[in-house]
Amino acid sequence: MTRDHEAFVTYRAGRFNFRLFTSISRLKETVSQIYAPLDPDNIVDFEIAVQPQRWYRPQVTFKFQQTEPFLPLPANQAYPLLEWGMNWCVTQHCHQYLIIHAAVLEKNNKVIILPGSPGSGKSTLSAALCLLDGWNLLSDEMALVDTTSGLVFPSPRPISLKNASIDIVSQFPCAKQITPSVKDTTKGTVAHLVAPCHRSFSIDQGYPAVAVVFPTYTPTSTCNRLNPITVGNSFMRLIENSFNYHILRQVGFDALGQLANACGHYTYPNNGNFSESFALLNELIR
Amino acid sequence: MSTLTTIDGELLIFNSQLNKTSLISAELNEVLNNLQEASEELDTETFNLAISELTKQGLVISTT
Repeated sequence: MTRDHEAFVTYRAGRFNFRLFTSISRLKETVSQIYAPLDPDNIVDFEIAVQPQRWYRPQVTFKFQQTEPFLPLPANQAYPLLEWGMNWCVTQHCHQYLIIHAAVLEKNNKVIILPGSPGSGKSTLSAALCLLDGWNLLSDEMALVDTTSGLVFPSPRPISLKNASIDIVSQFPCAKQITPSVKDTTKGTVAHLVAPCHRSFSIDQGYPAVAVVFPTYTPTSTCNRLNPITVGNSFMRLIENSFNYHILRQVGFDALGQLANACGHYTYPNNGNFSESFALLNELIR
Repeated sequence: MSTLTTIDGELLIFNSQLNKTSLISAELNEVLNNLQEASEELDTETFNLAISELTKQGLVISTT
């Protein structure tokens, strides 16, 4: 592919290296503010493009090689489209990991996994844990489980905040780096938060997970409580939250079994009382 | 076909031919263990028939 005449930026996003071709200068600026530039001698994992098209009601497209996995979106959604596109690249190609739709947080070298469907409050809770209680964000969108060891590998990227959670998290004192809100996306209003790093950790090191917690935001709940569930119940829920369990087949079954049998498993209906959440989740890593 | 007994005593079964995973309750797993001691390993066809029958009886918690 010869595209030397086009502007591009290369950067490391979590565990993966991207080269982004784009003529949208604002997008390049945002990427440069959020992600670390890549040394020239590093290998690029994914070469992608986010480009504008048409002048009337301008749109942007995401492209990986010759594939356009998404319909064009309004031009102001360029950054969310890039984030969703990068997620797509990883979930569609990185089958050396069992990939679970989940946030992953670490404290004291112990990891908890928070799988959650949209609206479960997973990202808001993750942001609160990182900004207010000293947890490290290993990932917001996907738990990368090594299929050999069952360890979870970090791939930290910004937390995707949606709708009401943007205002909630913006009020946290340490929420310094949040991208401007983008309205009317397929997920509502979205913004991305760069979580602080409380201690340096190697993204090449895998961590043992000690707990799997399925949060559900339940505003009417009168008390926040972790409800233990069986390993089998959690296993089946994790399959539902996995991007590639059915692709990995036997390997996925073995990897998930290794992970699941080493963890405690809980559902966590909560009303958004963060101080109670901190107390409960810190108990899991003692 | 692979199996995994969880620390809670449930049985997870992966059927590689169908690429399906089933969760068997701890109570039923105990029954199966007793059966297994008395017989050879089930072949896939028999397994599928068994799962189908057990599902009808509400004994398989879920299959995906």
